[in-house]
Amino acid sequence: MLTRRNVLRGLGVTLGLPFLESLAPGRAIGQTVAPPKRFIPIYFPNGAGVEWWDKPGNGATWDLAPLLRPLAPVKAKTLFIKNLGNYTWRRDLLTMSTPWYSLIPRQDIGTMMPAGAFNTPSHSRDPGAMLTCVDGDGVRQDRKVDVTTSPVNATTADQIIAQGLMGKTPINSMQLGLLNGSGEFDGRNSVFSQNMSWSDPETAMGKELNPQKVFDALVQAGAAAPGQTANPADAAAAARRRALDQSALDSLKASTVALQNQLSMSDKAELDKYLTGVRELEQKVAATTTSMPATAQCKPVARPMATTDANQDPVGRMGVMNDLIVMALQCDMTRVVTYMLDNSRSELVYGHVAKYDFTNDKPATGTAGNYHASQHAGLRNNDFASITNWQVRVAADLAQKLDAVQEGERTLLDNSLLMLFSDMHHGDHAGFDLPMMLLGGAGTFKQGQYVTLTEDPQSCRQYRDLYFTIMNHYFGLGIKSFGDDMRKIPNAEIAEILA
Amino acid sequence: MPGASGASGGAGAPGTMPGPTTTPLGDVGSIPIHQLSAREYDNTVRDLMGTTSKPGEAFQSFEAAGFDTLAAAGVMNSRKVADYFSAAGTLAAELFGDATRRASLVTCQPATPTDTSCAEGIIKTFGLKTFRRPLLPAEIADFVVRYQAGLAQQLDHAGALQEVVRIMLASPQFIYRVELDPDATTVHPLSNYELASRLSYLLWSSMPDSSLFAAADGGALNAPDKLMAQVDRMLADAHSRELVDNFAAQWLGARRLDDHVVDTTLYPMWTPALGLTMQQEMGAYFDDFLHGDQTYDHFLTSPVNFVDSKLAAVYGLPDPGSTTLTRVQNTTGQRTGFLGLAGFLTHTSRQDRTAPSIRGKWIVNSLKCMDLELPPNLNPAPLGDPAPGQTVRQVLEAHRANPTCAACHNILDPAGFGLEHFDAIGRYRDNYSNGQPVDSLGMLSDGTTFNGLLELAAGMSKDPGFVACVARKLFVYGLGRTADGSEGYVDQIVTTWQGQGLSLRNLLKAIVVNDTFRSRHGN
Repeated sequence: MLTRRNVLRGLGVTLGLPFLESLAPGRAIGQTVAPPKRFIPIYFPNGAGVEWWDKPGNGATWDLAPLLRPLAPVKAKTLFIKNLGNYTWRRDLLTMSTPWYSLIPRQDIGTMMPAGAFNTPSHSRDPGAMLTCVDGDGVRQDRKVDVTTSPVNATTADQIIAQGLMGKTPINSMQLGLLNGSGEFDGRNSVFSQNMSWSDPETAMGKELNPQKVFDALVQAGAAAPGQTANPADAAAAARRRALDQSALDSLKASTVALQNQLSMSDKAELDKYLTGVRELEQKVAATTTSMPATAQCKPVARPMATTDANQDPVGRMGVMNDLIVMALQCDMTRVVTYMLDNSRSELVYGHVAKYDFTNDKPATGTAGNYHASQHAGLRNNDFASITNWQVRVAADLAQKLDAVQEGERTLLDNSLLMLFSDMHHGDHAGFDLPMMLLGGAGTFKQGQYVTLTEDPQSCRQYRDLYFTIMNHYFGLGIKSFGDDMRKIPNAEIAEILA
Repeated sequence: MPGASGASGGAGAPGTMPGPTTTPLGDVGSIPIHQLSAREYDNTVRDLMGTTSKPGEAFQSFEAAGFDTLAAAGVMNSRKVADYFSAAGTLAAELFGDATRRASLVTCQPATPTDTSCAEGIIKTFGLKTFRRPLLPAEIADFVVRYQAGLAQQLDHAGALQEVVRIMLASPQFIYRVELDPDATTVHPLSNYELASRLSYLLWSSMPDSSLFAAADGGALNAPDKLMAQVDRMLADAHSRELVDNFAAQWLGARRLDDHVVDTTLYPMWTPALGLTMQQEMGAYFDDFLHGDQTYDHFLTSPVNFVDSKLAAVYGLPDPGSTTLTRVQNTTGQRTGFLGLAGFLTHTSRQDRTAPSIRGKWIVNSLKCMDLELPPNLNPAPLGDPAPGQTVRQVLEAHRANPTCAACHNILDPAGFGLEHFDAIGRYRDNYSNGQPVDSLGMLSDGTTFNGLLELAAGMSKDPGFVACVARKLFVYGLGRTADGSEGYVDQIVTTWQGQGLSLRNLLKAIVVNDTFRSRHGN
C-alpha cells in the first residue's frame, strides 16, 4: 500500500529550498537580493496582567517589566508600543450618550481612558475586530445576515498581506492554534472567539491545532521530486493515485456546479467556498508532479505525534508548534502564520504554568488557575499574571528560535515581523492601550525601544494604522485604506515606530 | 420577507393546526444550506457504513445560539474541504478493507469486463442512502464514469466502487443537508426526502433509516398524521437518545461539565468521575420527560433523582449500593426538580464558590429564553470575593447599588439567591464556610417573593415564559436557525402543544407538523 508516509520514508523527508539557495540561476555574484519578509501575528486572549506588564520607558531607555522578562534574550529586537487602541470602528462611537472621547477612570486601576473604548459583548466583538478594525456587527447588519449567529466578518489584515504575497510560497498562509480553551461565546457565533483569519468576509479560515497535520501540510507542500522515488513501481502507483484523485475532484466540481443551479443565491455562495477548497486540493494533487530540487538547507523537524486533545502537554506542544513555524519560515513554505495561543474567554486551567508571586517577585506554590476567571479576579492577581507571563514565554521561545537561524547577513527573526497582542487591556475589557509588542522587522521598525504614542482620544492611533504601516511600509502593498475610524481620520503610517 | 405566509398558513397543507395567536406568524423560514455538525457526521457515517471511527471529532467545529446544529455554525473553508476529502478516503478504505462490510455493499459482480449494470445498481442503492434521496440520472451516469476511470487505473470491481464511495462521501450532497429552491423566493413544501432528513436529524442527529426512506418514497410523509406517527416510531428507537445526548446536553449545559474544574482543596469530594455521574444524571432526568411519562410543566418540580453511591452522598440520600444510576424519589425535602440537580448547580458555579449571578443568568437565558446583553458602555468594577464575614449576597447587593449594574443584576441575581443553599458542587448547606447563614430569599419577575429552591421552582413553573422557552430552544436546535422573525410560528407551536398535553413527545409533534418544519423559501 502506497501511503504518503511510506513515500516520505522512502524519500527521506526533504523540503523545498530556503530563499537564498533557490535564487534564479544566472544571478551575478555579489548582487544582493532582499530576503523574504514574514508576518506572524501571535494572539493571546483576555488581556494582560497590566500591573506587571508595562514599565514605562523612553525610547532606548527601558527595562522589561516582570511579565516580559522571558524576552530578555531578544529585547534588543523588541519594540514595545504604548497607547495603541482598537475601538474607533464602533458604529455608535459618535452617538454614545457619554461622549466617546470623555476620559473616564477605569474603575479598578484608576487610570483614565476614553469612554468609547468599551465594546460589548467584548469577548466576541473584540477578537473579531482585532485583525479587521471594522465593526463586525455592522458588517452583518449591512449584509442583512443575523448579527448574533452569522460567521460573516471582514477580510483580515493577515489575509490581505497573504494575498499580496500570493504565489511566492507553496502555502499562502497558515492559521495555527496552540491551546483550545472553552468558554462562553458572548452571544455571537463561536467563530469570533476561536478563529482569527477571514480570507474574505464570508470565509472564516479556522485554525489547525494538531502539530502532525501542520507537519504533513508542510512536507506535502515542499515534497521532494518524484524523480527521487527509488522504486518505479511506487512511482507508477503514485501516478495512478493522482489520476484517481483528479477524477474524484473533477466529479465533485461538476456535481457541485450542477447542484448550485438548483439553489438560491446565498446557498450558491456557500458552495463557492466548497469549490474553492476543491480547487486548492487539485493544486496540491498537481503540485506533487512538479519537481522541486531538494537540498538539506532547511531542516525539517521530526514528524510529531497526532494530537487528539489540544490541551494535553501544553509545554511540549509549544515547543513542537514553534519548531514547525520555524521550519515553515526557514524553508520559505509560507510567509504569513497567524498563531492563536488560546481562545477568547478561555476558561482553561493553566495547570502547566507554575504560579509566580509577582507581588513579592518570588516563586509561589501551586499552579495557575482558570484563565478567564482569573482575568476578573481583581488587580494584582498572580494566577492571571502567571498566565500572561506564559503567553510571553511562548512568543519569546519562538523569537529566540527564529533568531538562532541565520539568513544571509541577518537572522530569520530580523526578516520576520512578530506581533504579540491581545484584544483587551486587562480585566476591564477596554480596547484602549492594548498589550502590544513587535519583534523583528529589522530595517523597517525600531528595535529595542519603548515607544509611547499619544493618548489624546481625538488623535490617538488605532490598530488600523499599524496594519496600514505594515502593509505598505514593510510589505509595499500599496494599500489605500484599511479598517474604519468613525472619527473620519484617514489612514496614516505610524512614524513613531519606524526606524 | 419574501414569500412570508402571514396568516394564510404558509404551505397550507391540509390538517395544519394553527392555534390562536396574537403575534403575526412572520417568516415561515429560510434555512441556509445546512452542513452536518461534526457529531451528525459521525452518527451518519456510523449508520451509513457501520463504522465506529469518528472522523468528525477532529473537524473544526463551531456553534451559534447555543447549538452546533445551527446552519450558521457550519463554517466552510478550504481546510474543512481537505478534512472531508481525507475522511472520505479513509472511510471508504476502511469499508472495503473489511470483508463482511464490503460484501454487504458489493452485492454483484460484472458479467463481462465492460458490464456496468452491476456497478450501476450498487451506485443507486448506496447513493440513495448517502445523498438521502434517489440519485438523479446525471449523477448515476457520472458515478459510472468514475467507476470506469477506476478500472482504467487498474483497480478491480470493488476497488473502482471504493473510488465511487469516496467521491460520494466527499460530495456536498452528503456533507450538507440540501433543500432545493426551484423557485428562489416562494414558499414551497419540502420534498418528502427533505422532510425525512429534517425528521431524522431532529430526532436522531443522523440519517433516515430504511423505514423512513420507504415512507418518503411512498410520498405521503408531508401529512400531519404521518409525521406524528413517525415521531412515535422514531422516539421508540434507540437513536432518539440523541435528543438527550445532543439537544439536552447542549441546552441544559451538561456538556459544559466536560471542561468544568472544581477546586479540590475546597471540595475534596469532587472527582472527574463524580462530574461524569452528574452529567449522566442530567441526561437521565431529561430522558424521564422525553421517554418517560412526565410532562414538562413538572420539569422544575419533579422530586426525582438518578444516583449512584457517589452522587447519593452529595444529596444526602441513602446509598443505592450501585455504580450505575438508580431512579429514586428525593425525600430530603431540600431539593426538587431540575434546579436541584448537582450537575446544573455545579456547572453554573465557579471553581471555588457559588456565583448567584451566573446561576441566575443561566436560568434566565436557558429556561426563560431572555437574552440579556451587557450595556454597551459598561465599565465594570470587578466583583470581588466576599471579605471575611461577608456573604456573596452582600457583595452583589453592593454591586446593584449602581443603577447601571442593577438593570441586569435585578433580573439575574434573585433566582440565583434562591439556590444559595447549594454549594459549588450542589451539596445542601445552611451556612457558608465562614459561618454566615445562607439567605435564600428572592423575588420572581412578577414581583412575588420566595424563599429557597422549592418556592422558586413552584413559582417559575407557573411562568408562561418557562414552558414556551423549551419550544423555542427545540425549534432553534431542530431547524438550525434562530426563531427571530418567526415568533408567531413559535407561539403557534406552543399553543398546539399546550392543547395536547405538555409532554416533550407532543412538543416534537407540534414542531414537525408546523409549517416552519414542512416548508421553506429560498434566499
